[in-house]
Amino acid sequence: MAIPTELTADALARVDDAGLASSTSARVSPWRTRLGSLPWPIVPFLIFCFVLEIVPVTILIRDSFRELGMGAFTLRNYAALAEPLYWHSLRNSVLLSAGTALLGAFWGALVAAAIVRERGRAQRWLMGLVATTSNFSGIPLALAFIAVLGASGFITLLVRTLFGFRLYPQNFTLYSWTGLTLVYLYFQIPLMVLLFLPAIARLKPQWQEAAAMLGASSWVFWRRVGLPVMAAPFTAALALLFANALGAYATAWGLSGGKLSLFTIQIAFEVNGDVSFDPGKASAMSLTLALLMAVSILVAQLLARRTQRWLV
Amino acid sequence: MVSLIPVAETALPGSRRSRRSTGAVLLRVALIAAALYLALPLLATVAFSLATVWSRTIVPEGFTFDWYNAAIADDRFWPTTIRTLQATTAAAIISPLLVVPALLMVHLRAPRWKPWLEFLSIVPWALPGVVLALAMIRAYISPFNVSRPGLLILTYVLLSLPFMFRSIDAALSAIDARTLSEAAQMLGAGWFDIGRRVLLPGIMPGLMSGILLIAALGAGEYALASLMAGSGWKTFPIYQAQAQSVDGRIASALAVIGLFYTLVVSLSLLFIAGRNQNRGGTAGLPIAANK
Repeated sequence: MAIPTELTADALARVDDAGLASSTSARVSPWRTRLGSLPWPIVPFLIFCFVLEIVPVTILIRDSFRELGMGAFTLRNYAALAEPLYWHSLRNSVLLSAGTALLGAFWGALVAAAIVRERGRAQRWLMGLVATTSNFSGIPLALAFIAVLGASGFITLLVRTLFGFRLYPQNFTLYSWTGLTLVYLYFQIPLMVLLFLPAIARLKPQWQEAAAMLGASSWVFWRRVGLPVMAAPFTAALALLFANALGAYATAWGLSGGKLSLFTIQIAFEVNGDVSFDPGKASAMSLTLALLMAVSILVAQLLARRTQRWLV
Repeated sequence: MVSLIPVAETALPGSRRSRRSTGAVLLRVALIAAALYLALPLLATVAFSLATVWSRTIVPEGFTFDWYNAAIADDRFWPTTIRTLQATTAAAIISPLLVVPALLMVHLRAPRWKPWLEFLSIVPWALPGVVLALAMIRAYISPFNVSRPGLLILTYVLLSLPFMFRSIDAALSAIDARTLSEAAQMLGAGWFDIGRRVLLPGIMPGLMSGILLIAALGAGEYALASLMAGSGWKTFPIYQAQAQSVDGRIASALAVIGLFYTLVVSLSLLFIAGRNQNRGGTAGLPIAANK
């Protein structure tokens, strides 16, 4: 066939729609034409998204502009974000997410590059480890780190027995920002590997051969070709890692039970707190978080689209 | 898999070789460090769950199955496990029923709807558990007092949309559903036969990986379960959290039970993805869920 399939598909769809529309409603109004041609198998999906996505988000937006989520119109709920309690938790969340995203992205990219070079059984074992650990998170992950780096964890005891060095309580504690960073890295690294592996596996060996034939050393190849091509998928993955950590709640809750103030934990406090529950403030915080997540996911999507041009 | 450095290893002069091998060493170190970093907490959890006492010496003082017996004998074990399996199964049935017909229609008849459906399917990525819980409580639980477990299951369906949509979409694109079904039609197949013999086998890998991701999601989801359903309908992760605040060793035994389940699910996913590299076996990733 000479005609590209997408063009045919589109053209056929238009013919389809026109045919259906003219048979049901003789082109009365554009709206009736639209309704007449509504493909019914997608209706349940649309209803579901309306009920569980659009309605709840709309209610959050409405509540965020009302006093206590039900009174008169106000902007005070958003102004409350400037209060130290909320502002610090937001700052903590952003810093922790950015830090673990950067560390996880660099480390994970190296791991992905190393896994691509492995073959056979070693590669299968490593992929198994990455796939399993990418699904290991939340409450049990916090526990696992307590078993390794807690006050009587394996590493803590090992360091004390071998080197006579006491980690706790002066030199290190797991229930700190450093500790939480280590725990977050545990789910950032496998995610980075899974996100970045397809991109780095498609880096065409022919490019490297061509570059070598033109006299480029592998350093020149990476600086001029490899890294520029990998920049977009790397940044896309970085943005997703940031969103991944920003929305996290159970892991930090399981580790510190709210002693480390993160934005998600503050929102959960608002939802759970029977006495001080202010739906207006909670909604404003929720929307702020959702907006930050949406922006980073959008960035990732746009960059991923750019990547597809290079790495087919 | 493609080797990154396919250029003849021996033919290059010394200086380049040594530079490349420093790169190789760096990759090797990063890989081994990461493997240890990822494996150690898993192994420690297993060891902790089997140890009699493990707080003074580097290796446990003895081994026992007592913590597993205690974890399973607890009154909360079976009810919470069954609830988690119920929620997972229900979500795994509802999600494909919404996504498969919609995507079939988009691929076969109405491609102009695709951008809209794609957008709607990705929105849940931007809504973390705590935000979704608040939204559902404000929209449905406090005004209408709807069934909390029912709403929790529907919210799990919502969380599954990004990866369910992507994996089935990828599978349908990979088999070129439209061309195949037209070809089948020309050969005289009815729609029933096309569905059963052409489309269903084609989307099977995508469908299976979507369902497995729901299985992984349901077994570890804590934020929504605790904030939405809470004390009235405790799921397995809530039992895990409660056990953890009482006894770390019983909690470790529960963590290992959950881990074993996750291991089976993850390896099945990997297996499907490996067998169907060109048929959309690799699904979208569950970002932010469960973390």
